[in-house]
Amino acid sequence: MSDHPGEKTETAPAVDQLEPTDSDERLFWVGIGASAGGLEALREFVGKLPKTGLMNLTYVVAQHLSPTHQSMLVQLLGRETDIQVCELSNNLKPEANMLYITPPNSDVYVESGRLQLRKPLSEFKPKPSVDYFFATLAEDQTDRVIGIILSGTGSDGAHGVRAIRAAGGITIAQEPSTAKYDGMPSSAIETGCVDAVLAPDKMGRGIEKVLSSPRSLKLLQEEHQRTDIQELMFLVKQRCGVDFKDYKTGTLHRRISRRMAACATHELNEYVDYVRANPKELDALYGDILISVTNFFRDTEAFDSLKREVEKILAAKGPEDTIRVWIPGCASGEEAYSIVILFAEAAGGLAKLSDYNFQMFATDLDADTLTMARKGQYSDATLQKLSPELRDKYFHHREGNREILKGVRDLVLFSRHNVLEDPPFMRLDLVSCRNLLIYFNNNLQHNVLSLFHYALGEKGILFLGQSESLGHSSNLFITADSKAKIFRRKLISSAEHQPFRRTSAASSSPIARLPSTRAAGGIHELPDAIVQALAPNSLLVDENLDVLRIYGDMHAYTQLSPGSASMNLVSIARKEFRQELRALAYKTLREQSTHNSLRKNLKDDAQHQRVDITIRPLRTKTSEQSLLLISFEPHKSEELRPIVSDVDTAEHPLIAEFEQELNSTREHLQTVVEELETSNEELQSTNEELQSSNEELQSSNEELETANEELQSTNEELLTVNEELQIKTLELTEANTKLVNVKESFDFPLLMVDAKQRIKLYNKAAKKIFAIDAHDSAEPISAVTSAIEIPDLVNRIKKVGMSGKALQRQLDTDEVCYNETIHPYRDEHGQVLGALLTYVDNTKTRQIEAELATSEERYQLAVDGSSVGLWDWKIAGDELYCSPKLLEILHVKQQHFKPSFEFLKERLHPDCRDDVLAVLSAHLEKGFDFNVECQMRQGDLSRTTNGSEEDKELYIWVHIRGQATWGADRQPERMSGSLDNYTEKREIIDELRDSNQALARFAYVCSHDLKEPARLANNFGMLLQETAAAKLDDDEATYLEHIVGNTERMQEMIRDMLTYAQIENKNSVLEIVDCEIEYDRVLEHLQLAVEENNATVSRSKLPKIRSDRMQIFQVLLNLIGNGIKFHRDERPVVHVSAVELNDDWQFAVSDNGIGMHDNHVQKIFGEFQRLNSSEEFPGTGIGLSICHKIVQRQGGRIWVESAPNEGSTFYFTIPKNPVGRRMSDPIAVAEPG
Amino acid sequence: MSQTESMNVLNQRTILLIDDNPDDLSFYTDLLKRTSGEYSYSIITASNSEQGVQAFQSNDIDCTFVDFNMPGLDGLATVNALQKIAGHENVPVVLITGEPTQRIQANAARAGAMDFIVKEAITSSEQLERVINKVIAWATELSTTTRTL
Repeated sequence: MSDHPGEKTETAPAVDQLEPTDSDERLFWVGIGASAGGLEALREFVGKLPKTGLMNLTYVVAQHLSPTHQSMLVQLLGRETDIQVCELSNNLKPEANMLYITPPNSDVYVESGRLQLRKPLSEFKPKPSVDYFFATLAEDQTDRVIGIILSGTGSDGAHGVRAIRAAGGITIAQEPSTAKYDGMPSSAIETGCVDAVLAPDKMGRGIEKVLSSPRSLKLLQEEHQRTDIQELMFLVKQRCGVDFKDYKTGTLHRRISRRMAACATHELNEYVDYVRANPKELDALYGDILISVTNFFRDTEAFDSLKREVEKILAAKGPEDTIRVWIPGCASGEEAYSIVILFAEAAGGLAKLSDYNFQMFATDLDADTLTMARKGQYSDATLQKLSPELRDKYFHHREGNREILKGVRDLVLFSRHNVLEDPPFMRLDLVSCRNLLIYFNNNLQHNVLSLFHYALGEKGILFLGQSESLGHSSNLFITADSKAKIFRRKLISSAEHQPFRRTSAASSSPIARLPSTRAAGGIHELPDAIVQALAPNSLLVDENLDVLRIYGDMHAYTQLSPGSASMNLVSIARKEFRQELRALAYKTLREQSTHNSLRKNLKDDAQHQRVDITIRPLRTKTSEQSLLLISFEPHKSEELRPIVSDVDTAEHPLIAEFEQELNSTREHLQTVVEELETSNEELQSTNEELQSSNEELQSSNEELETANEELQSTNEELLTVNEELQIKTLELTEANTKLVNVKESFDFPLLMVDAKQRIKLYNKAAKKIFAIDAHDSAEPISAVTSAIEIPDLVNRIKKVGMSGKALQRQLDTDEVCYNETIHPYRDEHGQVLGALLTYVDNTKTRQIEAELATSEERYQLAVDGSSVGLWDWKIAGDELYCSPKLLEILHVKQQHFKPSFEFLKERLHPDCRDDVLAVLSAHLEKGFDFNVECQMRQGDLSRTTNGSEEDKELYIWVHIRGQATWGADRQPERMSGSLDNYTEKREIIDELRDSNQALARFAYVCSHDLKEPARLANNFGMLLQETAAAKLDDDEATYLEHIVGNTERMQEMIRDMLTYAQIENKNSVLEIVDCEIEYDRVLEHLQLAVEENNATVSRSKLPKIRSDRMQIFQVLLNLIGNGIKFHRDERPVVHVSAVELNDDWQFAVSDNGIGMHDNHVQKIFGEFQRLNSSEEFPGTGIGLSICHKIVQRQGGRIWVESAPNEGSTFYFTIPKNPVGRRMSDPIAVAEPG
Repeated sequence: MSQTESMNVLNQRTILLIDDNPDDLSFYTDLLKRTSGEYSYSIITASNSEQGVQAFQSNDIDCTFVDFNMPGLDGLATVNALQKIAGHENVPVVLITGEPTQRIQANAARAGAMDFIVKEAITSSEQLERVINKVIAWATELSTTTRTL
């Protein structure tokens, strides 16, 4: 049998049993909780595990894992150790020398020696919950547990180690300085429930040491061990002020052996020495003994039953009535809060409960747990037994945990209170003392239960733990619900009831204070026979004069008086004895010696009896109670006469007087004594009540102190907040400075208005436009004058405010242009509170825009007005633009135009398409000049062509030019050019050519046909002159002379005309002409004339020029000929020279002839102009115009410098690069002659 | 070695003229002598295709003018011959003709000549130089990604 709390055993009477020896075959569980930084620690720990074979150890690792992340923990740890590592699965029975790792996204708990998985309790807390795991592990495996907390943030596991320790296991935490995150280990250590703080690689060794300490308690039963234990308890009492001597030995032994194991001591005396050397260990032992685990609504069914009782209590109460509840041994407060919640629920809500005057006192010895209880913060795992509705109703979230509502918290008064020594709270409706009594031995239990009985009000309820029972005190209570352990206070007589006694604070020698293993009632077993023999008719009373036992026949000496029932000696003894008995009894108690009374006279019906009363003190070795044995001995003496009847009152008037006086004195004394007794009782009650009040006041005081501390910490917080506020103010100032700097740095006006269009902010530049007065803070913008006209501003601002979209517009005046933008001004939630206005001066831009628009217009006009079609081809996207003119040329309507280069391509005549495209691609590829003439089809393309004559009419000749631009890596990007209708020009040219040809042919034919008759006429004329010279008279001869002369002239004219005509029509053949050679040829031609006139013709160096040979010949022929012809009387001298100019050759033909007037100079080059009569100087007059024509055609000039009778010099120039007319097709003109 | 890059440091360019008409040859030579730009030109003349090809091979030519109408190998064939020597298509060669027909122009383009001029159209040094500049620029550009035949 074991005394574990929570196990369903009855409290054992009398004999305490020790725990059986640990069986080494049973499994020892090592639970490890870890979080961030745990991997490192785990690896170190796992690398140095305790040696196998020492104990059957199984390891379970609860590592906080991300629910989604695939954990490599199994592999990583498996590498570090020889023992097998694997992942935990549901309903697993662990084996020794195995390491199990909890899977992600599950909580793990232990039940009946098996590991179970379940859905996580809390969504937000890390999983698995170490607290939950440890708590269930402790409950299931009790002291066969070692709990280890490794690195991690937060405080998971702090509650868990408490549970393990309470169950008797050992707890270890990672040394915070070795942990990557010290949150979890530090939190665990702070609970005070950690036995050892080690670095992970030392933990294995630590476990070894712990396990090697003997867990066997048999040793402790030895006699000499007992003294050690007593010594320990004394030391604890000295240091911590609490006497544990009446606690169950089993509990004490267990706790002591646990501490021994934690301190790695093997012998008890070793431990005692250790404790003497390290008094702090006493605190640990104290804490260990006190440790208890409490839960919310532990034993749900019991609480359900309690609820019914609570409802009854509430039903019996009216509004404003007080409800008082006491929870002794409240530990961390779960039970206390549970009961408040129960009351609140039964009342119909916290608000309803406050209609009553509800007070709860929750007390405990352990100040640290009280602090926890006062905080009222619990993890979700702890609140597991609570339904979610209750949880959300009475708790709110705080720092990841749940905190009890202030309304509940205020109803509970926590204070430190020793239930054994301190006076209890009184007039209670409910006392809930669960799992406290189990720590006490029977005697103590009885005392405590009596205390509760005293403390409870009428019909008060006592609520005990599931494994507790009333034991010897069952007479004090009625069982209301035996399963739920709910008891109701029984109204009992003082005869049955022995009110509580406080143990004296004064301590006597330790040796003497041995735990009483036997109740005071041992005395009861004094054999009746002995007493009967020695002292018949005796009463055995205790030091309060309560009768404990009655021997013999006491009817003669006792008397029942009206009033409340009592077994007090004074109440039941006969009136006659009372005072004396009392006096004598106290005397005996004080002096501890036997006292006898004077004989007393009893008057009993007519019998007189004399009684001797003897009071003997009794004390046994084991009892500290002083007992009295009061014996009544009748004394039959015949000698005795009834005193009263013997005495003659007349004889002894004094005696009678004395008797009278004595009687009255006796009566008075009796009265006084009774009154004293009453006063005493009242005083006692008052005293007790005062003490209770005192207790309550002390509790209130403690609460106030706590509140004070809280206020101080609040004060601290306020100071901190103040500091932060100051920092915030600084930041604000900085932010403001930034704002000011930024807005002033803009040289354009910037304003901010609020929702009512009042100016809130502006920069200096804003004054350029707006006449803002510095004092007008929050002036509406409509009231401010502006330098330019800003129409409709307020409405626009409003519009922006409503739509939340910015508005822009242009404000143009003659001098300046502004671009106004109105932005919505939003707060941090995006709500529009106002607007921001900016005015950017974009005058220049606008100007440029205007100019650009004009330029565009002009261009457009040019395009539209041009007679040439323009095209623009974006090569990449094959986008073709054709100007309207181009479309007109091609007879295409705008709607039929497709903007792709195909448009042009498909209109090319098949004959020239390939060539054009070849040139185009050469242009795009290497810049080959794109300048083509080709045929393109006009109109729509629906009619198919077949090369017939009709089709020719569909085509026109066009002249297409184009130039591309190239981008990066010589990719042609764009090409644009012109398209010109060449057909008309060609037609015109053709017509002209035809016309010219026709004319030339006509002239030629004409001349040719004329030439022959003229020649014939001349010939025949000359022949006639010869043959008929003799026959003719002078006049006739003169006539004939004229005829012949004129025919010659005709011939000349015809010749010249032919020449003239030929000049027009013949193709200029530009070749290199050697002028000297031509000069020679001219002289050859003019040989006759030179001889006849005896002329001298000379020349200087003449160049080679690029010209038409025939024409140069003609010019020279004419000019030299004229020089010879128009001579004066002297011999004609003609000289030809040439001079090189920049671009031309300048020739000069000078003569010494007749010269001419200036005003004739121009005229002479006209056709058929003659300055002289033909008689003087024969000539056709065409000659110079021929020269003029030739020179002009070659791009030169011809002029003359002359004066009358001073000769003339004819100049003409021939350009070095003569401009020739471009011939575009090989249609050759028929060459005449 | 790229024939299209001028190796003459002192802004001198070497021009090759291939034309069977000596008058034309001297005309163009005159024009080039009279240029007023930053370049000075040294002229190499050839009166037939074979001479011209030989001259091209043994000299560093910046730009070539080929007459279309020549006895023996005509202008187009000469262009191809020059390309073979250079090893690529982008030889700076200009085809000249006195009979500017569409067909000849297209053939010149197909043959890979870089430009095409008409005799009558050339009347000044500036015109000629413009053509030379353009052709040399293109040849240099294209030589950076020259494909070898």
